[in-house]
Amino acid sequence: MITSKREFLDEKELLRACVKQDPRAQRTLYELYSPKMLTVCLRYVGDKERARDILHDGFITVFEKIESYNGTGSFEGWLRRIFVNTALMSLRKGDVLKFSDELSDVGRELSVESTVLGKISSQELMKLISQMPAGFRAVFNMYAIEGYSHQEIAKEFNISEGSSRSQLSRARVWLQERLEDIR
Amino acid sequence: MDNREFDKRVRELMEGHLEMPDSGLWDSIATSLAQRKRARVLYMRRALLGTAAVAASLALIFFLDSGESTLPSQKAVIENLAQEIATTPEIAVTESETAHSSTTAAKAVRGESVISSDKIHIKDGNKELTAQVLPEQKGEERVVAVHQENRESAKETAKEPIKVSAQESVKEPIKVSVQESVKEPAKKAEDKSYLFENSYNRRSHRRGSTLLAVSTNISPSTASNSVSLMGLSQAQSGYIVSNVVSTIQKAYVPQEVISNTKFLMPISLGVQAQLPLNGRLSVATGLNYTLLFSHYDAISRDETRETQQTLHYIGVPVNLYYNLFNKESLRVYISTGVAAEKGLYADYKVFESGVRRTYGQSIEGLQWSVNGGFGVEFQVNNSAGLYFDPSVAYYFDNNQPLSIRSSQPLQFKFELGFRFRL
Repeated sequence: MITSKREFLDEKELLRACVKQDPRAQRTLYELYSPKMLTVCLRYVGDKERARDILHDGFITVFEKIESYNGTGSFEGWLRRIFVNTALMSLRKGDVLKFSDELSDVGRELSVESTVLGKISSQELMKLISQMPAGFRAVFNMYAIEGYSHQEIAKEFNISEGSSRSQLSRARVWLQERLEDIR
Repeated sequence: MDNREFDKRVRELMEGHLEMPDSGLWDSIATSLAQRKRARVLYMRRALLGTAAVAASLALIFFLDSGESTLPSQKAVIENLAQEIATTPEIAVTESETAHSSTTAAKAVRGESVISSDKIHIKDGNKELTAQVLPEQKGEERVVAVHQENRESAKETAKEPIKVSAQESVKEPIKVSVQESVKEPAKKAEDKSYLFENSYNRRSHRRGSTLLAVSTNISPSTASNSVSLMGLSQAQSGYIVSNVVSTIQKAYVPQEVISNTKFLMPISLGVQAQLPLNGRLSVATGLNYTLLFSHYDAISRDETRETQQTLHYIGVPVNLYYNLFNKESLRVYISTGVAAEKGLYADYKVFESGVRRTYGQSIEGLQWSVNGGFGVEFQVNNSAGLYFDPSVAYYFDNNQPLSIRSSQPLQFKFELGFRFRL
């Protein structure tokens, strides 16, 4: 059950208490953000058990590094970045990130109807994303959902920007085909 | 629908999606945080103890080594010769030194030995001696001019003339030739030991010297449910908690709980005196203080309880050492012995739902053990040696609180320390 952060007056007070390693504050922070962050982890790794492990490791990092959050930018953004990095690290360790060569159909527009995405639930979409090949999934998550640029993605995975665009395009096509099947 | 629109729709759907973590995840995170915190504390504690031990050892070495010179200096030669001359009946008084002697008489009266670069003034009872190396003969042939006068004469020269038989017969300074002594082979060793006695005796591992050892001892565990050498890695084996938790804990831990047990390396600090029995054999005894750390994680359906146990022991080992090899700066030996340890206190820290409670109890009985091993000692200076003694110890079942010793009675021990020659 998620408890509210009423015990702490505001987010700043909650974070100050977390910096002091107050167990109640840590638990409150966990309960506030763990569902969102577990979703992030699951989107990247596609496996619940693995996502759980990443959530565990990510929160350990959060509580140990929380002093380094300087208050600029949203805390949730800072938090999300930690979980994305932890997930990417896990993918790199498992050597599951396979990036194909650049494709010629990078600029291809999708033919999927706008109503299709309105008909499926978030749960169904999550299931589809989880089933994506790891390389597609990573780039699609970073670009389409997290808002990273191709330059940032290329730097993150040590690939060319063209490869990043290619992966994104193929991920969209892959997802479109699955959505067509559902329809 | 264009790509941008597609991405936007996907993003909106995902933003509204929440996955609920399972209920046990927070407990797992809290446990990991607590372990890391304790690991940091433990690391800091060990680092501080180690630093303190090294600093104390270095300070002791410096203290014992200060003021000792292993090389014979000109001053030492003068001092030795002057002492020798002071015991001889023939003493010369130089006219040239008469005036100088009166200037140093005040110091001599106070009972001081005054050494200048080439001179030495020694007070011996009512006599004052002044010895000087003559500058023109400082080579192999050392020439010492010795001046003697009575204390009274320094004070009241006019009242009573100096009554020294040699004064009249010898007007020139006595020549004490080291060269002549060295020429005689029979005297060579004698003179050498005379001049280098201190350094010679201290450089080698003297067979008859008593040793004082300050040491630390760790025992890496090979038990399946123990923690690795570096600390707090998770052990995998499960234990019924009632089998591994002491009586005081059983009151707080439900019966049907499954627990992980982790043992950390035992750490000992000790002092030991080693007395020689003969040329090769010596016996040693002393005091050891040992800490045994254990962690018990009790996990039930409803809660997680973690117990940290620290056992404090003080022990008296009695060991026999037999030298296999003893050269200039290296000694190799074997050892065997027995130890009796008395448990001082069992300290329990229980972490339950983020709340920490501390309990304690005394430990009854004695823990007996036997050990055997070998060791190497390297002499770092005249009075201290660094030694490393790997050994194997067996701990008997003496109804002591459960620890690494009951889980793994046969243990490898690595003792590292300094021995100081008294």
